[in-house]
Amino acid sequence: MIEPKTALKLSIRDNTAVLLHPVEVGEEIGILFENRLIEQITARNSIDRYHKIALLDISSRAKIYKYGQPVGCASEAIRLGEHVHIHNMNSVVMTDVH
Amino acid sequence: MYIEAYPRPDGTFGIRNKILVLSTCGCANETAARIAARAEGAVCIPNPKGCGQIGLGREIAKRCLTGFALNPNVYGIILVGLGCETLPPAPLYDHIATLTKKPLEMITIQEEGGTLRAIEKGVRLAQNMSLDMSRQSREKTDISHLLFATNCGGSDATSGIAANPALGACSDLLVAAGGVVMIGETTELIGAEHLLARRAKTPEVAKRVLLIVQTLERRLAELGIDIRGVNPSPGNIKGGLSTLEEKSVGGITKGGTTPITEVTPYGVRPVQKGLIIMDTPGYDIESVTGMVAGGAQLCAFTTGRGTPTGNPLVPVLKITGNAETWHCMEDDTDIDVSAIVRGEMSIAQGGKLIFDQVIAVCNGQYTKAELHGYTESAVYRNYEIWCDCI
Repeated sequence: MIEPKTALKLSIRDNTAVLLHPVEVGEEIGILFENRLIEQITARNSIDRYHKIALLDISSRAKIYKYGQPVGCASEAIRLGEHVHIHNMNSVVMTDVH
Repeated sequence: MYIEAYPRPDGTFGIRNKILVLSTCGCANETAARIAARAEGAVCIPNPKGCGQIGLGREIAKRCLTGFALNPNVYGIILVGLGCETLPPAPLYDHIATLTKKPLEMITIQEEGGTLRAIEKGVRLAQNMSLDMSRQSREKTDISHLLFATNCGGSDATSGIAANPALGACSDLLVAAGGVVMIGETTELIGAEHLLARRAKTPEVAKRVLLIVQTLERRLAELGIDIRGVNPSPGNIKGGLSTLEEKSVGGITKGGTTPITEVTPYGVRPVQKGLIIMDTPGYDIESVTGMVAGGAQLCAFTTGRGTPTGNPLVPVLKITGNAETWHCMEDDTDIDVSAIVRGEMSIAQGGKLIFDQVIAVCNGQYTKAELHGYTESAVYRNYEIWCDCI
């Protein structure tokens, strides 16, 4: 049997999870929270291991949550199952530099 | 909780016994290195400057050289200088002598009559010191004498999930036992400073936490520098970290959950017990060096992508939460907590695993960086603005 691919949701507040395996477009991913499988989602992109995947549809400029903390904001609308990284999220610190 | 350590005349305890051959300026580096190579237990810290330094740069250098000499892992010190530098060995010798009664000697190359005479005198002094040092044995002492530095380098997404929180659990155990834990890397507190300020023991400490971060942000802004160009680094981004605040929120967990009791400038020894923030730059070698100058006897270093970093005076204990890094860089890494990522180990279990290794290293067990004999050291120079230092 092939081991199911999984991602960790680190806090109940989070709208992203951290992938524990590299995934391909269309693959099913089990979301783990506190060692329990809480839901299953489908990857919309090929994504590297340890990168973030969206657990919800996130509107442009909404906060991205990881560890229960805001770690940036969406620079465009992000759909459930999409890769969340530097191409679609920004830092909100040090933005007054520009 | 007890460790076996070497008592020093100033009341501190070393977990290693080293003779520090300290070059006071770049012109004396080769001479100092040759002296250290000829005496068992001696280690050389070279100095990239020591001359041609002015203002705050000179002050930081003097503070750190003094701090190295006072570090509890140092049994005795041999200062090696040229004689005409702006940070001359004689006043530094006098300054250190007012602060500690450790064995302390000085060689000035121009006064000894050149390289060969300076090396001969230095080797004799170092060997005599080494003989005295070899007669000293470890004594049982309380773990509360430990000043425990933490640092992270080559972070990836596993750092914030496994290695940093597990180290945090170890930090909590050390603080509960009466020890001192230091976190630093002010660049990587940006975006998480509010979380730390909320945990400050007093309103003054909370103000200092916010001040070091805001000062750094303001100075970078004044210089027109976009910190996001270097932080998160290309390696951090490849490892799944997208923003500086994501790295910061994952990074601060290595200090654990106890109140912040003090914020101390770069290279300055804290006076409080508990969890301390030292204002250090994000560059690992400079950050660890500042904490060593501030009196840390041991550094726990979390890494996602792996690093060989050591230090001349303190063991650097490497911890990773990345299973691939453990397999590919086991020669450089001491502890694997990747089972946390797989859900097979709790963060508390990871913390206990690190704590037990910390005790073993305090009692003399080598780290991988010590096995390699690696001795990276770099005093922060304030021309690139990464921390405040005042």
